[in-house]
Amino acid sequence: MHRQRQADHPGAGAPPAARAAEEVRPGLDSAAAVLALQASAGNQAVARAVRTLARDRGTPESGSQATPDAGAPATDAGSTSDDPEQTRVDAIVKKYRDMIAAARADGKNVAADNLQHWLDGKGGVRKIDVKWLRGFGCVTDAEDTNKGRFETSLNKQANGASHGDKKTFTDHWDRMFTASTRDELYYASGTSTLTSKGTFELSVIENEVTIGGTVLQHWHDPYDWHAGLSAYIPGFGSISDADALLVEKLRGAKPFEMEADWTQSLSGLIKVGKLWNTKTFTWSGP
Amino acid sequence: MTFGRFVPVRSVGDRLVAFDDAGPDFADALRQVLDFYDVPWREQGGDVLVTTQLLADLDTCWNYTTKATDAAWLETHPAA
Repeated sequence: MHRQRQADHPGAGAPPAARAAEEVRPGLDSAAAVLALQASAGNQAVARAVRTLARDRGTPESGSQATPDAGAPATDAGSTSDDPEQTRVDAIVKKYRDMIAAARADGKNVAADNLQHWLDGKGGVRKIDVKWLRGFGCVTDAEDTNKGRFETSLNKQANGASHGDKKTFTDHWDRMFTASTRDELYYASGTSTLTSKGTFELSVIENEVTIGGTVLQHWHDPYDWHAGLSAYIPGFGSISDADALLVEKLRGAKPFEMEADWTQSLSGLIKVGKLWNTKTFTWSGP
Repeated sequence: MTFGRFVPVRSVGDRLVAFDDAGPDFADALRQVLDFYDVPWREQGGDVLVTTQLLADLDTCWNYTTKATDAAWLETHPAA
């Protein structure tokens, strides 16, 4: 998870969510504006805008003061303390709850569920629906990247095979990718990794290599926040993850793992030629 | 093709970061990985050089780094 980490990539510039937050910031004081922002840009933009707004209002930066209710469940209760830090956390938590409600109203239930899961401090592993996940082009693109990597290796294996050979080839590839800011996955996860583990059987008759195998696709992403990471919002400066970490510290919000698993199968035929190979790969599964 | 020095790439949170901290055995292991995948490389002063096109592909460099530091993978994937 977290999209603003992209800003730390050399040359990445401001993350799209940060830009979205900047664009809508002036109207954020109203619930309607929050809903509008949610509809147009998603949870992350709301989160960033909320944080920016909090800073602009002069609320203190977080994290330096210990408080007696550390570890307590998150709550959206109104301010019950004169402690400025507690008041600020109350506001942050309430905004998160508003974001969750707005996300659900906009049909972005996975993003809402993730934020709720984190806010409720459930931790552990949250299984993500494979059909939903694979509905995003970046996920199937990652699949295709890793499939292509396997196919390239299998072709090399075919080149080195001899008549009568039967052998097993195993390998694994990771593909890290970031969802489009237009997609709910960006707000539910952001950057994630697809780990593909393949096992293939090759059998060779003369110059024809028949291939069968499976690839275990394991999508994973920690839903967490990191001190020191930030996004630059033009006109507002650097926005850090400190707010979310403050909610974790004082209200028991808790990072968790997101995972999804599925299996795909490959059948293939490579005809090894003197100049080039003729390759047919057929993938099946979800 | 232009070549540049391969630097190990690791994941840090959601980022892929190059760390210029290769140990003494890394170059040998990396050469094995590159040979296994038929990736062209050169050597200069003990450094392994790969194409700048590969260096720009942090994701693939990350995979090669992971495999070059995975004793089990190296054991089961000898260079041809």
